[in-house]
Amino acid sequence: MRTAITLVSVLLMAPASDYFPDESAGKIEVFKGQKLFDYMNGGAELYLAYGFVEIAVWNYATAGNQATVEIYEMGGLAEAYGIFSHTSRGDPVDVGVPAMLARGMLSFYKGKFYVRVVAKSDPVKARDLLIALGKQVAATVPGESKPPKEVGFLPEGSIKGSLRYLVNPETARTIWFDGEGKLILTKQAKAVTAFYPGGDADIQATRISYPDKAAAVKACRALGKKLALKTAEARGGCSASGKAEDGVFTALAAKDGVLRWVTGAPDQKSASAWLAKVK
Amino acid sequence: MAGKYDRREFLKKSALASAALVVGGGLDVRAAQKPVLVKVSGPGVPRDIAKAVKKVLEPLGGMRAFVKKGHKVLLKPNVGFPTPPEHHATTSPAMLKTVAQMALDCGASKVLILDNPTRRPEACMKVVGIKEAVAGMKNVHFFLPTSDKMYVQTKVPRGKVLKRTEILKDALSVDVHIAMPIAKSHNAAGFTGALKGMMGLILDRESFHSRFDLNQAIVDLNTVLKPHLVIMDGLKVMATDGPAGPGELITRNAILAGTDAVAVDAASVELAPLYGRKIKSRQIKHLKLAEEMSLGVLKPPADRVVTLEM
Repeated sequence: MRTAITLVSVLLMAPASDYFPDESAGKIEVFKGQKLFDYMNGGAELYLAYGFVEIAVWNYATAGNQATVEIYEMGGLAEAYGIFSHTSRGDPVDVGVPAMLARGMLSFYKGKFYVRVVAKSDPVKARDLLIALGKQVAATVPGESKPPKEVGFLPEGSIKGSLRYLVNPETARTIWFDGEGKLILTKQAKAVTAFYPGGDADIQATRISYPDKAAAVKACRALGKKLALKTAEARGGCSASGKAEDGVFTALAAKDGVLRWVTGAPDQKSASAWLAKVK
Repeated sequence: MAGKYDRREFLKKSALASAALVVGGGLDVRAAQKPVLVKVSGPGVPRDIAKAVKKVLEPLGGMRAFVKKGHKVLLKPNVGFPTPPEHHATTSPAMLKTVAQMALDCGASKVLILDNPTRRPEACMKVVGIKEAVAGMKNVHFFLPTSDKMYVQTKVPRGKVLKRTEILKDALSVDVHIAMPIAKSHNAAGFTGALKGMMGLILDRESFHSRFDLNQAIVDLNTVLKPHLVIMDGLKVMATDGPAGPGELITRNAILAGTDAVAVDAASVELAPLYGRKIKSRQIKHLKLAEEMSLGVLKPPADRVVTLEM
């Protein structure tokens, strides 16, 4: 069984290369479970919500450039993708698996591992180093790099970097700020949400699958009530629509254990049309 | 509790002083009250940080309204992470240098720059650029606490979930406490500024995340740690991936200052879109709770807010 720390050890034991020469090893730090707070304080909660197991951290320094390699062992492939979805900024690059390169940070997921390579020196000058380190790590990390199937249920064309994969209310803290996450997400639910270019406001489409039909209907009713929408009970399902407090139009529907929700639409017709696009 | 005179007393004195000045002149007392929130922004701000800091403090009475001869002054920046200044995860070294110098110019006997970082203090000290910025400034001390002995068990009488915690002794013994956070997104709290930043003055932060409701615990802590003045680094806002980053940086070229930490934080939340969209300050739970516990207001009256350009 590969763990984050064994992966780093494998990397460091590998024959010396341009970026992993023996003398550059430095000290490997490992933080397990709740000890992640010692490494990143408040940022830890999001990782723990995605089933964080342990992180191995290794600082790399070469002439003029410094970077930190962080290998996170998460709850599984879906959870690794989930945390990646929160930090997936910048431009796509290929390091053997699809990765994202933003200013000063390269990130990707593979198997149950989420990897960040962060520049500790001038982020522009460190670009090549980040990619090279990313390639080395990706070659060592086992598993595939494949998003959960739920991602394919949302319409295409979302705003770059806006898609999130959510697995419980704690993973939605920076998605909904008025308590919606606690109403509609359970520990067994799997959700995907993304923003789309709209008029005055961006349109947000969300799809949540529940382990049973009743949970979806319950979430639909609770959300409809919170948003003060007109709710209609269908046979074995629920739907609601209307104008939300902030003046945008919303539509939601629960059926067969799935809740679909669109908000931010300029009018009711548009909200319904967007809802139909969510599979 | 924050200093030898508390913030409430300070505000009362300031208001009375302002009123006394204008009553004699026959002006409306309310109109003459000092602002509680000032914002300076524009391309000139990053070009001359020292001038910008002075400008933002002027409507509040300048540094002299806060620091008197012989005062021991605490500057509480965000030095939580060992990242270089270009990442904007930590407070601008240039702002800290300016404020430290202003305090000295007002006669401060000592200026302490303190924060309990998340990561190894020596690693943070090495890269955040503050040590270099204040090097050679007499009576200015930048240190990141390394010993548990530097903290003292402190009761939190108004705390709803936090009843006691260990607070840095120096933070409790200074005459003037100036919070100098940087505006950032925060994965757990939504936003981090002055209120959340007070967690950098305590020993046990983990229990805030694991034992308590984080938002309520932040507010409880702010019932005993009340800065007299907040000066917010809003030059570039880390709009995603906070608090550690690196995240998306949105340039705002802004510095905010005020005597109401809730108001300064609330205005900073709305400086730039966070997580790709506009977040209202009332949506940040700890700010809403802070207002409910009368620690400040999210939206001060318009006549107590000053907006400047540079």
